Amino acid sequence: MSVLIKTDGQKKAVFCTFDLRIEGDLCDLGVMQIRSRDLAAHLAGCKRVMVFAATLGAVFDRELQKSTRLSPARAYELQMQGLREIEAFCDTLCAELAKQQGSALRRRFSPGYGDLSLEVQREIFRVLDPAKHIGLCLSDSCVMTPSKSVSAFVGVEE
Amino acid sequence: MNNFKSFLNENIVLLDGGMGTLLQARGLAAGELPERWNISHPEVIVDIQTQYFNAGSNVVCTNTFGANALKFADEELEAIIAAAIQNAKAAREKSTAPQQKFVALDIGPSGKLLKPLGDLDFEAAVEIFAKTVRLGVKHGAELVVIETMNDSYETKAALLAAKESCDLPVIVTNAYGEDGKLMTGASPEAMVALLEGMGADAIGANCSLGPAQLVGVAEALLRAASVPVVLKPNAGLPVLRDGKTEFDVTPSQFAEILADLACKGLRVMGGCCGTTPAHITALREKTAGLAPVPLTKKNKTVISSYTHVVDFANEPILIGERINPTGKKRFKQALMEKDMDYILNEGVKQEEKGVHVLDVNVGLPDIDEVEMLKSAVCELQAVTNLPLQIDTADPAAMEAALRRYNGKAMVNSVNGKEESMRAVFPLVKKYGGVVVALTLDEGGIPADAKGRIAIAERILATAAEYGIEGKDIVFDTLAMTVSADNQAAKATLGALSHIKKVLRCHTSLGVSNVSFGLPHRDAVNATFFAMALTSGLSAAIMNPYSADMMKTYFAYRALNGQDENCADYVAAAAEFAVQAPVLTSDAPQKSAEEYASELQKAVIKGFKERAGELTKELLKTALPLDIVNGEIIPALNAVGDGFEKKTVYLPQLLIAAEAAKHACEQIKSCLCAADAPAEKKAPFVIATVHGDIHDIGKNIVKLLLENYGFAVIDLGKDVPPEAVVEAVIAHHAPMVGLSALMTTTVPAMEETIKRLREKAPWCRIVVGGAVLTAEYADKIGADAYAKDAMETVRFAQSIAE
Repeated sequence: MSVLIKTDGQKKAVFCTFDLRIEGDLCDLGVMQIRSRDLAAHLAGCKRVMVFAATLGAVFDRELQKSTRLSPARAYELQMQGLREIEAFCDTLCAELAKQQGSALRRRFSPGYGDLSLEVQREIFRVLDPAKHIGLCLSDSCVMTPSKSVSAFVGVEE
Repeated sequence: MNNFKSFLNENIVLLDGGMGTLLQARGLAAGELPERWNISHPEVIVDIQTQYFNAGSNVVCTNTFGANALKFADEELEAIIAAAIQNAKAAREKSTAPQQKFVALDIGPSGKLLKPLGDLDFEAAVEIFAKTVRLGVKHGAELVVIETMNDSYETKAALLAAKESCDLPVIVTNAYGEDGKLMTGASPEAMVALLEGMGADAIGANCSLGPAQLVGVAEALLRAASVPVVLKPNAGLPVLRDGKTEFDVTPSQFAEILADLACKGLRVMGGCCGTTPAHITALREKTAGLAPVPLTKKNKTVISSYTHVVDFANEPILIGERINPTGKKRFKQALMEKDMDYILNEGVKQEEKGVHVLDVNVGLPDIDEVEMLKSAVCELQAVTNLPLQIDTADPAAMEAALRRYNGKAMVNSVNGKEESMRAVFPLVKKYGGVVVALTLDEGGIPADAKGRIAIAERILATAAEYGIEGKDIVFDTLAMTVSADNQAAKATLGALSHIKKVLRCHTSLGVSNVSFGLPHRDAVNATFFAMALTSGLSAAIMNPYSADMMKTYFAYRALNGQDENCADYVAAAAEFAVQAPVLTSDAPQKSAEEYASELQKAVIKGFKERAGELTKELLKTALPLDIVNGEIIPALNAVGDGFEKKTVYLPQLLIAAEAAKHACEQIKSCLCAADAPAEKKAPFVIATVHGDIHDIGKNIVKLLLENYGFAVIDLGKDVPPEAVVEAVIAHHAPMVGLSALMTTTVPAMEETIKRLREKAPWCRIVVGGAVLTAEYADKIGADAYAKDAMETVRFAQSIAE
């Protein structure tokens, strides 16, 4: 099973779909096992789950960092713009994939939501290797860099 | 055995194809580290690599893309690299193909983004790559291939590591996107400038796109590079067919495009993701009869930033001189206070004025120039796109800055003294750069042109001994004061003209020296600048705020046929016409009575320029401190109160705070010029804690605290606990503010608080950030929780009282 990549200018995403088995609060994707009551509840009933990571890229982050140093007002504005853009990119991607696969996709569920630990990022990054595919890296404290990025589990409705 | 370098220079070199995609086809699972297969499945690796040698590869890369100290512990790392080299050599033994064969140590990106965008320090990255290189050398690699790098800064770290750890030939290839640039923004020309400057043996592109999409990048590389150019594309893009990932470019299509490029000069080629031994076979067949296109020296004088190059051949280059403390009291004060924001603003303002390069000089007798220059370069290159000119007389500071510089810098300067050349040339050779050479020596500055030309010739000859070509030297024939010697300008220009025409080197001048002691210096400077340009001046170190200089520059380009339709001149002239900004009153009239004065109105409405102008006006009649306490603070209070009552929103608060800061900057300059003692302010240490790299919130708090008169010591982001403790002790700060956004970094905050309690018990601690609450703050032992910037200000005021 290998990952797929979607590019839209600087925006990039890497994703892969896995079979899913849920037992109690354990989500077993074969390549990773995650204990989370909330994720298990969110994915309940799904036989497959898509794992994905997406980023606006480093150039946007540079602009953000530059304004962070020189003008917090501009940084605030860019911050909001970045959030809108990355969410819109993820929405478009998920809508496209749902259409391609002919199956509905559930809402994105990310590390940090509910009881799903941020440490799960390490597993997602181990499996998708977004650093290699789309230049998205994980810091020692599980922060994604570039900063305007999203990683998530998406349940596939059969 | 190591004759790869001569083989490279005389042949078309075939590399291998994809490894990862083939391993997946043979059972490598998602998330499994392919490097471990060197040990667990050596037969599979040897088989694939034998197929590549049999297909015709001259170079096979070891299966070590991610073999680095971040992913593997020391013992396993060595075992993997040893096994990987052994596998590739076993494949060579098994192969029956007749061509010359080499085994390359393959190095991919570290998997981490470097600071300031990520959390990996530049020197840490150098050490990570160096470890891999040392192991590769120890176990018998014959060359090093650095590949798939998508960040110019990390590429520099990897090449530096290779150069410092071995004498093997090094090939460097980057991953370019659809826009023809690296993820972090570098153009192919910028990468050639950086990598050739540091001595890469071949430079190219790999991965990310198919061969057709990389033709433009390859052609750009061929135009810029004097060393062999490399191309290693993917077999197109991965597509999902019947649940299987496939690539859409066939071996014959692949080979056709690369063979075409070989006719245009491409010398080294292979394949990346999705390519197979069949692609290499096709490539061998297609290129079999081709003679390698000879390499040509491009002789371009170029410098680069992390995005683009500045080429001296094109047009006159303006080097902004304002980042320099000489004669500037306010700048000196900023340096003494380590006020980096002031320096960054000087850089960005010059960039807006249209200069092409920024000179960076932070030398002052009482500061640690090595540290200061290094951090000024690091911070400037994070906010400006322009290449920097590193300006220092201290070789240690020069090296520290060159090492960290993300590109090929301009170096200011070397001169004809033996000691100077001995110190500077090795640095230019090692880190790359274009060096400004002053035509003076142990005997001083020759009075006439002839003497200066003789020194230039000697500098060129000595540089050649260090392996530095004339294209990387720009001569400064030294503008002397014409009021002291009426032949001074003629001598400077005579030498300049000869060097440009006869020695065929580029030139640079610090123009403004010429007018010392004369009235209306701008007129003399601008005329001298025009004379120098016609004599062959390539670059001027100048003040971009001087309208006369800018007028001369734009007029010269128009007259010299470098400005189509005189469009730039006309556009610039429109700006010259607006001499003094007209103060417009945009504030709605009805609210006029609500505010006591025009300045208060400007601050509240966030009119930055207007607030600055009004402050300047007021300073003519009012005392600086009265303006702060009677105008700026009341205006800020009005906005701050509104924010707390939720009638004013954060963006409004921020633009008001920026306007207030602008007004305060005028006051600082005024106090500085008058040598007035700085007001004693309460120090406030602020930091985003270790592991956290979110600093927008922290910077907002800092801005407001500064407005309210606190001396903010900003330690930045990702700050280790001990650094916070050190700063609090050094400044005997009565208060500290810590910020954290992520749950994962709150423990670092707790640790910082614990150490502060031990070492600096007097200090009050306020915390904030997305994940924190009052209860959480209490639990980790903080004195207070502030939900926003205004609450932090209130807290600080309560401590200061």
